[in-house]
Amino acid sequence: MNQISHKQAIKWIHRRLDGLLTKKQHSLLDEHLYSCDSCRAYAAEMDWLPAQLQNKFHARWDEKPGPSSKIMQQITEKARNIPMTNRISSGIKLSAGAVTLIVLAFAINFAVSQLRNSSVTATGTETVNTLQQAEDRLLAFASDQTGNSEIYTMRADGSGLTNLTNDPAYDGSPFWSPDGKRIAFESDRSGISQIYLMDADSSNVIQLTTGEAAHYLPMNIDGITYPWSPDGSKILFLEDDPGEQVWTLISQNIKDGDKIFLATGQLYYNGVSWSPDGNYIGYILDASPDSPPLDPDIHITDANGNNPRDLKKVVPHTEQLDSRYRWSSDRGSIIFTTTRSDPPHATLVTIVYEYEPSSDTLLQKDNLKEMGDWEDSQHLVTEFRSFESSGLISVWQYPDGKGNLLDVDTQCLELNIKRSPLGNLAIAAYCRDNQFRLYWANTDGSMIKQLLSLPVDATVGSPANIVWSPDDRYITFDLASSNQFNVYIVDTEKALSDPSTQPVQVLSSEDTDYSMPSWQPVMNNKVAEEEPTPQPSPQAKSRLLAFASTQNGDSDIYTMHADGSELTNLTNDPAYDGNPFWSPDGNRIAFQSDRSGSTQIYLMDADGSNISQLTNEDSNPQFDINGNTPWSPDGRRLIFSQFSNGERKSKLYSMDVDRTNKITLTNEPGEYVWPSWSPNGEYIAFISYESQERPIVPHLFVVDKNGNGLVELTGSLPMGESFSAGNYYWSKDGTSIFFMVDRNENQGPASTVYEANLDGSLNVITRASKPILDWWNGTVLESETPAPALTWLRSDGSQATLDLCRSTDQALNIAYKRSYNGNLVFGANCSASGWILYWANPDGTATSKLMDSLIPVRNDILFNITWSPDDHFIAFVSLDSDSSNVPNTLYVLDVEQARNDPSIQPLKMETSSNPSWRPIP
Amino acid sequence: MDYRLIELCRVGDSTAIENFVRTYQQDVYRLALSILDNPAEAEDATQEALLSALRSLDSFQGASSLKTWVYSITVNICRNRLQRHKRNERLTKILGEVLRVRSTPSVEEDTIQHESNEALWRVIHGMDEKHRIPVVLRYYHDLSVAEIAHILQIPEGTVHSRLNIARRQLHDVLKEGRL
Repeated sequence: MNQISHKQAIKWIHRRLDGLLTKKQHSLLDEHLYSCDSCRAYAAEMDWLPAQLQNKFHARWDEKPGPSSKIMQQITEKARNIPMTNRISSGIKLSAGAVTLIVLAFAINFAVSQLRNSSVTATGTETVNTLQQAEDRLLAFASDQTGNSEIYTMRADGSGLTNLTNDPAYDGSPFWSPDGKRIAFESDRSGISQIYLMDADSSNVIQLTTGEAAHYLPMNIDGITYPWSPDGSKILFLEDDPGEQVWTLISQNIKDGDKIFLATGQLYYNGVSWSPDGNYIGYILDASPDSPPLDPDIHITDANGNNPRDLKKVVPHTEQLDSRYRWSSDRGSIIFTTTRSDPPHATLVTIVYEYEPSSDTLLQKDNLKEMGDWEDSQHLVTEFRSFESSGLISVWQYPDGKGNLLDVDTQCLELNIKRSPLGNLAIAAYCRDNQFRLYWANTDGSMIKQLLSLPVDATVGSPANIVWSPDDRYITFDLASSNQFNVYIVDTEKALSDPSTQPVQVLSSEDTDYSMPSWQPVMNNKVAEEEPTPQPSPQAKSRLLAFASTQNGDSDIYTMHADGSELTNLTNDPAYDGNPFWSPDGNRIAFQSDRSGSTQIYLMDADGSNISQLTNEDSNPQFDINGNTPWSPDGRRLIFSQFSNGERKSKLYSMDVDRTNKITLTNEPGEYVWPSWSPNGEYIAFISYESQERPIVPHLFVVDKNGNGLVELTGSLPMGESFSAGNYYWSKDGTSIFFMVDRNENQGPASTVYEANLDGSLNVITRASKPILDWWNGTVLESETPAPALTWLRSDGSQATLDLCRSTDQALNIAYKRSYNGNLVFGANCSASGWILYWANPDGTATSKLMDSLIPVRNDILFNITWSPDDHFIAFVSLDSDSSNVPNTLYVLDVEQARNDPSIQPLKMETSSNPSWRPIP
Repeated sequence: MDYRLIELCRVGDSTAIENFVRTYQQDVYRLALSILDNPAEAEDATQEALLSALRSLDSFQGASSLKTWVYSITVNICRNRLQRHKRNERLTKILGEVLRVRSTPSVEEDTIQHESNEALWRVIHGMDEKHRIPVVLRYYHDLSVAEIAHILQIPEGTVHSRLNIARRQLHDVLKEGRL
């Protein structure tokens, strides 16, 4: 008779709640529940929940009256034109966000210019500062004209309109990469807002961010916000953690996905930018988030997230920072302003400062009565007075006190003013004759001209956000009408010479989900081709994993993507094929095969073609059983061991992949494991066991790449100390090795971390009173077996503890692996609940459970944890030690996803050897 | 609703449109209310959803029931509104920064505050829509997993796993309340 397991029963109890059981499953479950008290109790508990929820829901919503009778009236009215049009053209009221933007536009009358990348010439002549530029520059923008927000591109003359996203989800906030080849954007196509990249022709869409948290790009309402680093290698975005009231600013390396957490707090969506040299990042935080009014505070951090500086702290405390700043193009400094209320008349005084983050120097520039715009690099200060009955009056003021007075139009109210990359000004004004006017002024204000005039809806006002094209030729601005936003493009060159020039209208937007358009940057093709913006590595899901499996009867080498797709048998050979290792460039796979009659080492291309035999030895050459890669960092040599026939002892060798230059690394036969190349490829370290020793103790050796200068690094350990963990790390420059040592006696500190120089001399890095499981960049990880907890001891004295297993459980042993970046995945073998998997960052400041009760059999062994090169996935193997004829199981887990949702199940495959991830070349 | 009526709605017959609205407005309103949890906004969403359905009747292929199809449109419209709330919070933040005003709490926050003693609603409001909407569809609108899958256009297995996750959270809080 079929009896189902408890695990199956629990699963089926859940499925029964959703009506997903077959009749047979129903009766099997009933049988199980009849005989199992705990499952029965669980089922009762679960059955109780729906009734409770139904009661609560009905109590809350049923009592609300139904829809009002207005609905019928409004719909029948609006539905009259149904056959004529299939798009809503009226009736959507302007919602709160639109009002917000309008008010916002009035408020943002200050102007901060675009990142400046060329010097300004204050000529005062009638020549427009325009670079020679291709006419087919593209504008990227978002519009919801088809019903939901999509990203479009079109040329400045309005031609070539292309919908790039064409997706039922929201797509918005486009930002061109600095080389003008790619677009970063936001989309909720995965259910929650995430950051994506695509090529200018909409191909090659790659999701950059994942997880349960929403990710947003900053908003360029100030003309300075731009998420791409100047070299295009990194991108800034904001993370909104569910349930948290704070935001996190993150810089992500596009190529390898590495993230740097820059700041957490009440972050502003604008004011996020890189310094022109890419060395610093500026952002704005609310300094007193709990008490209104808002208190903007500009921060600067090094691009690697170190050394954050708080500009509030460098100015007198009587001054309040304004939420605007600009990077100087030439001196690596940041220019910002503060406001001070001066007694006795309480007039507001604005002070302009320049701050140099490299030297931590603060310069005070000027005191102004009221700020409009300022131009630092020419020591030219512009002051605007506007708003009142006098209309728009601008005063250009020089340091010598002289200035030009420009009275544009007393009937107009200034809406927005923005400096171009080359120093020209665009001034948007709303005038009492219900006209919107756009003016152009040269750098020093000696010339001002009207570019255009358009009628506007006086009841709505206008945001009139301005975005300059990088070559100063085009301006986009937006105008709101009662039910939509319209974006226009003006060709300034044309409009200056011909005042009747009409602007080009871009697709309108009904929605308030409005994002600023983005101009394709001026692209120097030569530079872009020599130093293109780095491409992200292939999408994480398409990471290739190579492994060996016996699912076809004999062991073959397969590759598959991390999600299990495109499983491909590369060898398809009746002989044994196993132990695959990707070459560092990801183009070839080294493996073992006995197709020639004895086990030899072979090489093939990533698709299984071009198989070549590298060794032809009697002594069964093979790779390390622990899964250390045999490949030298340059991909030219391989390490393997050879056993003498019938002997347990072997020697280590290295050889070029063209079968030449075979070198003996160990003259004495022994038991050698964990060989590894130094990062610079100059040395090879390995562990040797001496089987006659009791207890068996590992020894750590290093030898140079030519097989000379063998040194035992554990040779000069003090009496009573022994290399225990079997784990060691090369320093990044390959000049030393870190390893952990246990003290055998019951006295003094129990464990020591040593740094061994390659001549065998030792430095003590740290000691701890409990056994040290691992050490990484100054942080010690302590554990005891059986261990209820792990403890991180950091070099600054702080520590963190993670309880393992459940409270009644003991951890029998721990399997762990650090990624190249130092992130840690470890499995705790819990006495009652089986293996539980955890994740931790390098210093234990962040930990999470990845999955519960992975393998509920206590005697299972978990090994060969292998990180994907981007730290996104792990693969590992479990071996059911109770039944040796059962094949090992390969698990592949999406660590990023599992950190957020431990209920996610890993992918399971049958396997016969260790997995190998394809490296990112 | 028969296909003759659908055809009449397509060509703009006012009696047919009235009939269509009368047939679905209650259900659509209850659905919008249960997702948005705000009567005024649910009314707006009902109007938007019914209009949108009427305007896109051409694209109704009859693959699902008309009700499921209208529900699916309603859920999408409500989701857009939720997303808009989120984005409006962003805008309010920028606005607040410029004008130095304090943003008023959103309707949802308000509701939460009024019912701070109701841990269940805190959990439900705290859930992301991915998990909340299936629960509401299953336990308020009494829809099957297959129907929910159709409406949300996700596989049945995904509906089941989202329901499981949501149930686990809700179970804990309801159980505490019972003690």
